[in-house]
Amino acid sequence: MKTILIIVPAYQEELNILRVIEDIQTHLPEADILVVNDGSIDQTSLLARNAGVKVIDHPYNMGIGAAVQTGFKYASERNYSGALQIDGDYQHPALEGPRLLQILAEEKADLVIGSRFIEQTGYQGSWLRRTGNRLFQWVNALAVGQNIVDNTSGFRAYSHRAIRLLSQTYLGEFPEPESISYLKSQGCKIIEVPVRMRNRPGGKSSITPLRSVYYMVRVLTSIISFNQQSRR
Amino acid sequence: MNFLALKISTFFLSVFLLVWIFSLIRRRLLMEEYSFLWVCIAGVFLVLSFFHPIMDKVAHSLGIEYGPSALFLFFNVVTLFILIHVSIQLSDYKSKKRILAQEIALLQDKVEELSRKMNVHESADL
Repeated sequence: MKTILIIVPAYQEELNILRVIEDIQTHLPEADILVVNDGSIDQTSLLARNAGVKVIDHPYNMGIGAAVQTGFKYASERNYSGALQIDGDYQHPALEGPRLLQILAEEKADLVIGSRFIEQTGYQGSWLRRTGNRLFQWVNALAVGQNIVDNTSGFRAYSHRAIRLLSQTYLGEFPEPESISYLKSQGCKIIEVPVRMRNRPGGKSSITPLRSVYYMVRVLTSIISFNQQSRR
Repeated sequence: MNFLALKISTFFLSVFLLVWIFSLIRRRLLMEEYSFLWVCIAGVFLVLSFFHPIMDKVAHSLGIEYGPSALFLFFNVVTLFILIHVSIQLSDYKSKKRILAQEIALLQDKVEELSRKMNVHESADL
């Protein structure tokens, strides 16, 4: 049994999934790959299966939160010692994966976040997204007591303990900012590391300008109202 | 003001509500546990249709001049609570549905893995 599981949540990513898998196989040849197909009706699942990686298909679209949680449940059942989340949209460069995992092990951290904003790494993002991030940063810093610059990055490494906790706790439809406050409330160690991300080459992002306002309100509501308690 | 017309219409409205709810329960379209609030509301309607002075008294004690306004307020508040209750139920079902769907997805994977292993054994036997 390999000890690291790469969790790839994917929804309608037929344009990207193959290069994501190839990218991971090139830079992280030791790890197992799990694609969680979140109810895509395109070729995402088929392409990934044909590429020879493990695929779990959700029967219908449940959102990124449920997709990563399915990944954590899988990893927890099979006792992986760590996991790395790489989104199916080819934004996260697998090249940076080994460094996140190395820091996870060396620093005995529970969560290592690949951050776009911690230093100048070339990533820009929309004005709205940056403003939203600043807002999360501020609220999470208040709620959590640790300043996290990039709360919405899904490029992350998780320890065995974080996997176990997150397999039992559903973090809503926007798991990235919420998992920070949740894991912190459980006494987990969180480290942020600068990474260089790509801009999306194909497919469309789930976050449009109008949606991001809606997204911000919802995430803030859940961060404020739910910090400590665990949900299934 | 024609109170008789009001009495009659409220009476028929509440009787209609009660009959409808009971028939929904009988036809298994509404579970008994969710009908309780609606039966209560129909009951309140029924009582008020006979004793509308109660409504006026309650209204005056709340500082509301016009009895039926108090009734509107009352039903608006009740509706609000019912809606919140329904939202809670909906959230509960949604999260249970998510857990079931995830279990199905994980089990399906195990089934695929097992049948793959069985196929390997079968072809080895041949």
